[in-house]
Amino acid sequence: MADPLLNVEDLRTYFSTEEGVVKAVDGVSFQVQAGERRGVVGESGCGKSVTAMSIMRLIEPPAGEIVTGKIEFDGRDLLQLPESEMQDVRGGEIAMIFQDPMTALNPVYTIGDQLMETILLHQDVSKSQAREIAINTLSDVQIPKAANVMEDYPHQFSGGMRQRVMIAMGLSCDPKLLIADEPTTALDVTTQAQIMNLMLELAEQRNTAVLLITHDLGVVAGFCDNIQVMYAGSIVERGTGDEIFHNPQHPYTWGLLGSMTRLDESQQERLNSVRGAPPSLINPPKGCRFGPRCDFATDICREALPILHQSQEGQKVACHRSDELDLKAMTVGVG
Amino acid sequence: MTERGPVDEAVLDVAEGISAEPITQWDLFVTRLRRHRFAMIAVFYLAFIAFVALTAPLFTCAKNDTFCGNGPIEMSGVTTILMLVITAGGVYLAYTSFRSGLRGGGIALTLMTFVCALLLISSWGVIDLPHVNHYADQLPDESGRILVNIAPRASLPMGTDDLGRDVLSRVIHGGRASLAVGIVVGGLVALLGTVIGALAGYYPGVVDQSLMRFTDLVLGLPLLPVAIVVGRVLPELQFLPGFLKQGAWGIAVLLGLLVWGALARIVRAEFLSLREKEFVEAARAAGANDRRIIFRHILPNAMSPIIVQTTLIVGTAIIVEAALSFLGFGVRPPIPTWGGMAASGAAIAVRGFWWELVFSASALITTVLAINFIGDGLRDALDPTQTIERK
Amino acid sequence: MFAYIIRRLVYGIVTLFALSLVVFVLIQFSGGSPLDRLRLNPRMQPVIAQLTEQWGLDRPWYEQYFVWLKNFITPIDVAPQEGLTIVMFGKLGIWSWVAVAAFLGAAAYTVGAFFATAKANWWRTFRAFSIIGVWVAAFWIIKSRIVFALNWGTSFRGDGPVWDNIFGAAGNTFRLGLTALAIALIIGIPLGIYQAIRQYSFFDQMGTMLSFITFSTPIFIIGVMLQLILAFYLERWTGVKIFYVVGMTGSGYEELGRGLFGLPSLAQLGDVIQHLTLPALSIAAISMAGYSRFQRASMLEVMHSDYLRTAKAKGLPRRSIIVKHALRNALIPIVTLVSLDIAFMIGGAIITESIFGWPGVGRLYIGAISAIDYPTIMAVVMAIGAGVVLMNIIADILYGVLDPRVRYD
Repeated sequence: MADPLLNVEDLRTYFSTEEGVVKAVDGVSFQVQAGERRGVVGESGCGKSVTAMSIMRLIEPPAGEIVTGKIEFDGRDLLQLPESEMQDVRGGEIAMIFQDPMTALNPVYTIGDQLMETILLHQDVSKSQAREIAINTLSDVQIPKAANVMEDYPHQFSGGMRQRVMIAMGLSCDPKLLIADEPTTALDVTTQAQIMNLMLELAEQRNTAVLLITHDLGVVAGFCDNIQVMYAGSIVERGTGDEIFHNPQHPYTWGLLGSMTRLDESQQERLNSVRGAPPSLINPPKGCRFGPRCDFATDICREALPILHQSQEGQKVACHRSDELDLKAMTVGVG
Repeated sequence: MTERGPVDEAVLDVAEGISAEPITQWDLFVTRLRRHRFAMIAVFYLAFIAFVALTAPLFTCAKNDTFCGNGPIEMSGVTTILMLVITAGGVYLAYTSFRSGLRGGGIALTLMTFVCALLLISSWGVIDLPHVNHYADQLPDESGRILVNIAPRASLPMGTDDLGRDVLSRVIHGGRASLAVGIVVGGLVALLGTVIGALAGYYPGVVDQSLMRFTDLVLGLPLLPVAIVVGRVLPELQFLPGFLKQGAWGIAVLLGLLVWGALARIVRAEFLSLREKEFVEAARAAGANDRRIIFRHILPNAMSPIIVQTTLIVGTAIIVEAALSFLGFGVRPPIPTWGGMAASGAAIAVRGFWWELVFSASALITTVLAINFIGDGLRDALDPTQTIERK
Repeated sequence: MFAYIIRRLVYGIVTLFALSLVVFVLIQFSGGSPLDRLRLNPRMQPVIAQLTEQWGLDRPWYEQYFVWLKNFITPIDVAPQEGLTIVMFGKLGIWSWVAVAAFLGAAAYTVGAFFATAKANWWRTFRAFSIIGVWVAAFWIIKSRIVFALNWGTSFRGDGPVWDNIFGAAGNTFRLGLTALAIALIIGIPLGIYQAIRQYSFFDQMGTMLSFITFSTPIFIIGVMLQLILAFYLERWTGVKIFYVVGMTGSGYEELGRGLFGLPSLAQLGDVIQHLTLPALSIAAISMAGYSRFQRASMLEVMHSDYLRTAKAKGLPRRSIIVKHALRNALIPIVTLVSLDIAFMIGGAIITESIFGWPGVGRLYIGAISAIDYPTIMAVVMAIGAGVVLMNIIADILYGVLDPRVRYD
């Protein structure tokens, strides 16, 4: 296999608060290949957004700090880059789309200003060329009358349109990696699929890898080549879409799948949910972090922290009992 | 960026049944307020000032001794006895409510009620007792001369003023005017602002329009010039009862009537947004009448801005009262107020007698500062969306 | 936009009307009379009778009020100035308001129409501003050729026409107020911004603490302390008089000699600065504390906003993130604050002017209050009220220009 586009190794991002150190991301490693679509799934507060922010080095000291780890992108360690070079990477080589399009655009500048700003920053073009590119990208994201909306302000747009603008802004410089942090969560259900399709289609055209972060397994289901599930600051399971959906090895993944509502549900099954709430990230429980909420926890789960290892089924999983448990057999309504 | 605030932690503990004690909103509030160190210091400081001002007749100087005590008690017997009774009652109530398991909010409510009662009674004392102006406190020496402008010394910790009055006594008594203004303005503003804002926010249309026009009108009145006019004519208004004409009460009521506009606007905005919320819809669907919805469902949710804004207005009002007294249009001499003392202190400070000015000014600044710190702390503690600042 | 301005103006006029009624009634009910002092002298009896008749003091209060109100808005004849005068409003009486309203309406319409379309880009905004400039210039040219004065009455203290007194004093008040505003803006706003950028730093915490303390200090204490420390005590210790504490200029101001083109000479300028510094500083200190606190909060809010994160994620350098994206947003709310401060400048200087013996509107007011000189009291209150109304409207318009999200309904 060729060198990965993005190689994250043992990333740890901590936040210091009055109560103690919050270990938001605690030892995360993964790789993203060029052109790959990867989904990162987990409930809110599991560290998936912080992972993305860490890759972009948008964690603000003194509150947050990347304690250790390596983020190799295109052969360079981003954590070692001086700030000026990092600025070229942001927006130019790695672009990011945020959750809430209503607030992610600066209200006092026009759409055109904000788009052209990015283009002029990362590409060696004149102002009129930048305008040209901006209009083209806006048409690419299917905004009608692209030339006219250049003069409009963000507040004149609906949420879906703004998210298209954000996508246009992200893709305008042909980045190698696009990080989409819950890009459709704030949108209508009908708009969600459109935006998702549009984003992935455009990314594929440009051979841009996508790191899609979401709490919604349904969103990643159809779109991603590989999926990694995060829980309490670390990855608990990683595999292809098929593996994760049809043969989950980790009880948490299994629980997440169970809590999905499905339209093709034939039996009147009760929604299976994961009980309790995520643990404190300041003093995580000893042993497996999912232990206190896990129906299958045994003594070893309360003692030792499981590490991510190759399971018999093919994907990687961080569970002591993954080989003994046959979650598939217990799976209700999935499969 | 914190993924999980410490407060959520407590909530989650309850949700998971980890914590044995149920965590109430009040406990969260206290936890947050405690974190605001300056606000905590300010609470204690203000309590101290209030206590000293309230009990002033008990231990400030009169006649020949620095601490004589018996003179004032004789003269203000009724007030003092009333204060003691209320204090004892308040303590007893707080104690029993604590014993009977009434936690947090209940105790606070009891304490606040009796402190307010105390303050009202004691600020009454400013008017009630004309001798408190301390002309009687002049300190003749053996040969019968009145000792004016004496620098601070052990027996007179803050010296005497140009009429030979003990500055410490006057600073302590002066606090009563400021506290009276604070309490009355706070009460009036909270009442007027909440009622008017709530009505305007809850009943759109004619009620809202007319009330808001009226509010705009009051907000359009320039505070200081109008206050000066009223302060000037207040003692001469024939139809007013005596206690409003002089002393701090009239000024306090006047300021209260002038400054509620901002709060009314805030309350209206809160009501406008809250009345559309699902829980209000649910209450309405369940058959609750307007009164019940307003008092049981919306008002509790709008309390935070009301409390914070009222606190900040109290600070402003105390400053304005002091300014009026400084200019000579507030509480009239010889009743001591911090503003008035600053004015007479400034006149003699030019000759090097700095103490009256410095001590009265320090009392004023620290009190207002304490109130503003409390307001700041309350804002942090009551605003659930605000994450706790790192220190 | 035009309708909005008109509506706000109507509300403003109603407010002013109510304000005048409240103050007038209060003065009337006080029972005091401007003639009280004359009564002490028995030989003044005929004068008292005459003045009571002349000022209408024996009539019921509502009659006095309507007489005052009618006079207050009626232009009067004034002597033409140096042959330049082309319009004399006094001749038209109360109808001259039609002419004034026509002029102001046309100006407001032009401005409103331009602002309504001025949001697209900075160039159009600039053009809109230049249009305002044209109207201001037009007004300025006409101003020197018209004579306009309202019948605001004669001071009961024998100081002459109230109109002239107010406008004479207003110039002095603005000299003080604008200097203070400039100091407060130049120091306060950058301070707040810097504090927000360096949040939680030692500098930030010191700044927050200091502005908190200043904000909690009544202005008269600041003024008196500045007087004592920087004037009296400093002079006593050093033997040099650096600052003056009373008045606008020294008694020998005219002898210091004029400079070129009739402008003040350097010596005169120095004298003015020696007199101006302390009162301006005491007003500026409070505003400065307010501005820096407000600016810090507004900047912090912007710094934590999503669109600033977007700007960072775009790869913008920190400097342009702050200058281009953060500042523009963070400066908008302070426009309102500053506009209202200008409106309250006249009122806010009452205390400072009386401490420093500054011959401005505030001192005029205090003097008038003591003597129950109600024509002057009413005129000052109304001038301040009108300032508040106007600046409120201007603040709203400016807000709409700076923030594209604002729409006038």
